[in-house]
Amino acid sequence: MRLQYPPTVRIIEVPCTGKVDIIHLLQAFEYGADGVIVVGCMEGDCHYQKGNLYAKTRVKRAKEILDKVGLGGERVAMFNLSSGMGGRFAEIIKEMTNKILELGPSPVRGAAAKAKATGAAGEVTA
Amino acid sequence: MTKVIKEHQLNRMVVAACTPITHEPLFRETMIDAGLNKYLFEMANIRNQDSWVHMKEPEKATEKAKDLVRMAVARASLLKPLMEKPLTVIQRAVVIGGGVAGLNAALNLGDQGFETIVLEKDDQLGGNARNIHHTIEGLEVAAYLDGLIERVKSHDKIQVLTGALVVGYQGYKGNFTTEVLVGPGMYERKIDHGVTVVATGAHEYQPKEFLYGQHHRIMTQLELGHFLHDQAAEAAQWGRVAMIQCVGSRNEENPNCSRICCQGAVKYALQLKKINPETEVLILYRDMRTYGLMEDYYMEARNQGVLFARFDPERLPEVMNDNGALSITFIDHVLERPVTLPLDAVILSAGAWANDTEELASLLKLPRNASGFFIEAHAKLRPVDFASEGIFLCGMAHSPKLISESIAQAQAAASRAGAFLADTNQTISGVTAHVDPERCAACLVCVRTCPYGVPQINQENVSEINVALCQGCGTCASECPAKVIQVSHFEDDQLSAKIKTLF
Amino acid sequence: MIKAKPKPLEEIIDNVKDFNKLLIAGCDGCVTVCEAGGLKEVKILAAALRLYFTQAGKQVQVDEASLTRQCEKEYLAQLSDRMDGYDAAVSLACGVGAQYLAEMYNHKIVFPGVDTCFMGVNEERGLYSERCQACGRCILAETGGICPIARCSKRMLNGPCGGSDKGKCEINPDIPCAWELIYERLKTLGQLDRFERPVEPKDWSTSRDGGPRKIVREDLRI
Ligand SMILES: Cc1cc2nc3c(=O)[nH]c(=O)nc-3n(C[C@H](O)[C@H](O)[C@H](O)COP(=O)(O)OP(=O)(O)OC[C@H]3O[C@@H](n4cnc5c(N)ncnc54)[C@H](O)[C@@H]3O)c2cc1C
Ligand code: SF4
Ligand code: SF4
Ligand code: SF4
Ligand code: SF4
Ligand code: SF4
Repeated sequence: MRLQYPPTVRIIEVPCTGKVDIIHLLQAFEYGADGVIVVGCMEGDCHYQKGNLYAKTRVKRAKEILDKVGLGGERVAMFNLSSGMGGRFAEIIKEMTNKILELGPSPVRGAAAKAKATGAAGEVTA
Repeated sequence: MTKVIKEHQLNRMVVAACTPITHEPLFRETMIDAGLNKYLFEMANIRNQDSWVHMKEPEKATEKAKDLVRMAVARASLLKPLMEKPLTVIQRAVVIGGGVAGLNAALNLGDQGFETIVLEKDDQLGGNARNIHHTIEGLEVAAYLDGLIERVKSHDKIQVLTGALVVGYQGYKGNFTTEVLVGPGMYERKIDHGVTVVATGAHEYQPKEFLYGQHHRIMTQLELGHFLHDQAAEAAQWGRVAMIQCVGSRNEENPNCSRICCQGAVKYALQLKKINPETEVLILYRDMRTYGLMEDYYMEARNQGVLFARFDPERLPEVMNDNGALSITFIDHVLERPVTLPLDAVILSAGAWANDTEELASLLKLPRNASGFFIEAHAKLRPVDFASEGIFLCGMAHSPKLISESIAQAQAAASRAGAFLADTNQTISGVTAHVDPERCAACLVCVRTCPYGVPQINQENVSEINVALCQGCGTCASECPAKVIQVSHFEDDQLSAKIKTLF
Repeated sequence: MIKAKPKPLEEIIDNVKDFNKLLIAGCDGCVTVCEAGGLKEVKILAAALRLYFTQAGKQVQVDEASLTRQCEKEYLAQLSDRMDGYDAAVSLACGVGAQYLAEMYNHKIVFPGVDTCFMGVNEERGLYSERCQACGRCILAETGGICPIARCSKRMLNGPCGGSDKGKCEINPDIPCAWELIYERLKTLGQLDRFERPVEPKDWSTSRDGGPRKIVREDLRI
């Protein structure tokens, strides 16, 4: 569909959001990501049955951790999309980018870092 | 590429181009031709993820492209060669469901020369098509169906089991075992087969709304079809008929459009007009979805004076039964005013609801949507495959569709299934989970979380994953509290490297 | 097995915030099974602490390790050449392991990273319940295989307290009355006559009431 979205997002593909490890979510922030989104299939529509439900619990826990360590839980989010929802994907990237621009760069990257919002997303490619 | 690989003695390959979904297999072939393991290949999708979606920001897109390539290189450097075990494929197909879709799939597979077994839970074949007398084009369904059933039954490669209930399902692509209880005697039968086609169909929704069941002239489309077939003379007496669309569709309980009911209403309206041109037919609709060439029939219905009035789902028409005298009140969308009309019959265009496959879905471990329809692996790229290899899908089990569409999809599923059976040089994907037994705590987390029930605690008291059964989803790897499971090709360090290289 | 749950992150942060070199030490035993302290939890906690320190502008080293069992000297010894490099450790083992780690590395501060709760079963994933209180002299043979010490709120030894309501304990309606369970079990076993014979007053000295306990197995020692 070639819908335009901000060029600040980098996608990391995994077989299923079931493969998105909370450790990788946290790691992305450790390296300096300003935000991370996990994009999975619609709930109940997981090609691998329940992968996206597990991913949801991990994102929830990552949110809690980010809140407690002072980064802010809003920097991580999960979205459920079907393969026909390219438009919504573009919207989500826009929304998330705007939210992160509002929050400012991650304090982890500090002043030295480039002033760009970068998100890494786990996308289901199955 | 082969030449470059050989010339420079390369041991990894990164291609920065388009989507791996369509192109990775081709490049992997090249890897093999060049004598490299096909898993030592990585693609950076700088088209779909970059140039297409950032057309107006070429500079930023270029920066992103560099990042994407850097990520791909970082991962590629850590990729490992994977061995794929050869797969034996049992040369037999099982088709679950003996409606038009299942029968066509079976016939196609039989004609390809594959032994095929049709499992139909009912005591007769045919499914929902038995309730349809002719299509909108005027083709006779019963004659077609009888012919189809005859061809299937007399086919020397096809065996039909009616009254067959699937009670067990084991194995993996190419090597399934289905347990069925057959016939009134419920005798057990085990079938070893290489592929499965799911064609369990759908049925007409039994309305709860619009006084359905309280008056013999409030009927569903299928009931009207039978009525017009059996009692046409009586129908010719009708002065006015109203049809209400989207009954049991596009609501909270079943959010999908049932697709077939709009053309159904047009079809029966034309039939009513044919029996008696004086009969007034009123179709109350939300949106008329006579897609494709069926638009012609919609035009025809309008030309013949069928009335179409749109209603708002917030303000539904009301059917009234006053001591046997039917009438309807609806808000006319032009007048913006309630209109009440006496009627001889009310036809409810009840939607198509998926047949109950809860148990089957859990046995076969197949995904279904909230309305109970099965979900294909990819709407565009793998439309008749399930994500689990060796299982295919067709007909209304997938979504409501016309007979012609069910037949087309059955042919597609049968050809995919046939191609699978015919390919006897298959291997088991290398993308599977592996346990490092040293530190496995035998905690059972993987056993409890794997959606396919693959991990088992073995004789050595550690978890073991059968690579033939593993679908490589990675759920167990992310949940294992001891962190001793890795999914080959998506190992933790391979993913970490991608993240790290960005900063 | 021993059941524990992760401590609230803020509590751990509060404990360790003034240190510069930290080790997060997991245990591959019970706490891995109840998902409170295996290598995964170690990695999550370590990442969380690193994030905390970085955003707070502090350079703190947070390292990860997991031992086969922290309740064994030999396994703890595997840390001997690293331990000097840290000011403090957070142990994700149960209280036993955390203490043994502290005992072994006497000069290091060890913080508990989990709350150790009880000895019990995994009813299902994420649902654990208590079964035994380690009283030191097991009476299960007399109570239909159901422990009234661990499972009766009042540790009644001879029949219910009289407060049970529809099979639930009067102290906590979420748990079944242990004596009701015992009664049902004895009935199933056809041993209701057990109720005729009272359980003897229990010698609680083998339980915690006698002070910290020790087992000396002469048969295993040379
Ligand atoms: C209300 C309604 C109106 C329609 N109107 C039209 C129309 O006007 N024109 C048109 O072209 N098409 C129409 N269709 C669509 C048409 O009926 C189908 O496209 C066609 O019949 C193909 O269906 P199928 O084989 O996929 O499923 P079905 O006909 O439903 O067959 C599925 C079969 O699988 C069996 N089955 C189910 N579960 C199991 C199981 N677990 N194990 C074994 N067997 C099982 C069922 O008993 C059934 O026999 C209509 C459908 C509906 C619901
Ligand atoms: S989840 Fe991990 S530790 Fe637990 S049994 Fe499976 S492999 Fe072993
Ligand atoms: S990756 Fe793990 S959870 Fe997924 S199918 Fe394989 S064994 Fe099961
Ligand atoms: S230290 Fe505690 S958690 Fe670890 S094995 Fe020993 S008793 Fe179990
Ligand atoms: S009687 Fe004592 S040892 Fe036996 S289960 Fe109860 S508390 Fe444990
Ligand atoms: S109700 Fe039952 S479990 Fe609760 S204290 Fe009384 S006897 Fe014990």
